[in-house]
Amino acid sequence: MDSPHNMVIETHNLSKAYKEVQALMDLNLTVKQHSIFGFLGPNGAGKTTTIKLLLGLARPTGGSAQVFGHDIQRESVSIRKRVGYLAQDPRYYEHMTARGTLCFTARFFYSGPAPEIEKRVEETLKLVGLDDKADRPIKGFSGGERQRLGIAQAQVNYPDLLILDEPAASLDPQGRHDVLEVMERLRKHTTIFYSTHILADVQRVSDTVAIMDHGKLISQAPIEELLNSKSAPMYTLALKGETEKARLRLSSLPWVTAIQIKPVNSHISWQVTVTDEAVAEAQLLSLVQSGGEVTVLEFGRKKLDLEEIFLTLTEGDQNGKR
Amino acid sequence: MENANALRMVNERGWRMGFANLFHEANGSWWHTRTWLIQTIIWLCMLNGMFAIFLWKPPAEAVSEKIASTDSLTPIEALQQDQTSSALSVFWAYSSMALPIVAIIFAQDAIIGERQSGTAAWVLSKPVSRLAFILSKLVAGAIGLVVTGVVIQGAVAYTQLSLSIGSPWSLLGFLGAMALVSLTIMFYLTLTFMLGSLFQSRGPVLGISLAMAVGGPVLVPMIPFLNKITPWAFFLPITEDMPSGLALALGQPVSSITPVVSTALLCLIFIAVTILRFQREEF
Repeated sequence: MDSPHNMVIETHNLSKAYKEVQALMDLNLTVKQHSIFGFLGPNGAGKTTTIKLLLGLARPTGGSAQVFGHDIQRESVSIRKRVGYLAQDPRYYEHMTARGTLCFTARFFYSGPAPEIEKRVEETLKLVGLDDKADRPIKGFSGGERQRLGIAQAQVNYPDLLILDEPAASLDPQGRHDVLEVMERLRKHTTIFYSTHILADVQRVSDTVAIMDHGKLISQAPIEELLNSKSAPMYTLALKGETEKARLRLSSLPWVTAIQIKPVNSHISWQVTVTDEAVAEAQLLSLVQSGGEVTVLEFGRKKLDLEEIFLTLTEGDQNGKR
Repeated sequence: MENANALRMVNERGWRMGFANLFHEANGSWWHTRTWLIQTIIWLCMLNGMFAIFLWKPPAEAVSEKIASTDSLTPIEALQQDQTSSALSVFWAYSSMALPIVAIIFAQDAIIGERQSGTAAWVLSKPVSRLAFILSKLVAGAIGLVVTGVVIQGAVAYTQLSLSIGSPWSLLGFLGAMALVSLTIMFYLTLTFMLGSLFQSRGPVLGISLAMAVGGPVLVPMIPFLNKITPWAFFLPITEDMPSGLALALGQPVSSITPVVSTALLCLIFIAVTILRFQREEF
């Protein structure tokens, strides 16, 4: 069991309403130390609202939350001393250079000799690959450069918790790749809590995932657990030949619950859902081949990806509402 | 033993969290750019240039036919008979009218601009108290405006004045007048900050503060009470009494300090409202 001391973020029925809009409803979330926590959800799910509440930029209308054990309403400054934050649409003083922005940010955390602060800034610029553009005014920066500067200013104080709001949303594939690489480099030093709606990114770097929809938490689990738990066992087969008889044979079995059939170019693809994984693994392939009328080109266990799980969960939530 | 060359965590506490850094930045926007130089040159040309013209213009042929019967002159009319006093009244009147406009233009963007651009949310995501955010901008703005608009011009004007009469002018009274112009600037600065915290767009902030700066003095003759609680009559001859700022500059006694105390109190109230409102702001 996780000790509460290992928890960086804990929310208890955290809620936020803007006039008549309930942006967040009874959020109960726990984020463990040194995890890369993917906070998933479509636009308007309540991700940015949650982040703003954690940082004291907005006030909750219900519930409570602690970051490093500090209350988000009463001890917000103490929290922000240990946090680095990248906003969804980061804005800086446009007249400043990247170096100036990082020096300005660093001085909120550190005093001490200017050369030491400059050394820290230089290290951070190198980390995000902006050292060659350090003295250019920000107003000429591209979206990717701004995002990398955003990560740099969030990281300049070596925070215990890095909160990134859609860090790769506005980037091209190369920019996304760079940002994810920086996140992976940082994972051994800090806890990363980041929101996104890009599922492939989550699957690549996160170890824990929470899925939000319409202001509600739909699911929270380690990513492997989520990928393995949310589906009945499924098997895929690529077949050639007369498949109808084989389909009838399988349909009559009590442990087969569904067969989805899809023609694909020169063969037919089946997706067979079963209730008993062991029986299926022992008998499914031989049962299909037993009549001799079909040739099995491929056979394997299907694993849902995060996108399918996400869609299942969010659609399920919407259906529940209707 | 702690390495003196190592980075240390800042040790500010409470409301001061982030103040030093924010103040350094806000101050730098005045003094590490050409802002101070431009402001200084503008005010030197406008205020001190005009003062020089009034001080050293050739004397009028016949100042007034009323001169024969000075008993019937109001204090203001009597003042206008003397070229030095007249030049001083023009200098202070223009200072007290023009500098507030600059203060308003400067301050209208301080809160709204940062809120709209998103930089306020960025800064406040760092270990910064909201009080420090407001005060750093207010103090840096006040210093910038007062130094470039009052102190430098006042020092130059004092020198012009002393040269004109051939001996040093009463320094204490002159400093008092400078303090009252500074208080006038603070009144508009704090008023505009407060409006910036109450409204979401620049229109009402600029509209209300400019209307007060331009229309306020017009209201005083109609509502004399306003003279007691605002800086509108510090330098402008809008009542029959000698304006208190001008009296100070001329080394004369001040009839009442109530407007000074009231204006200072209003400044404090404006600051308090700004802070209370900004503490509740959501980003």
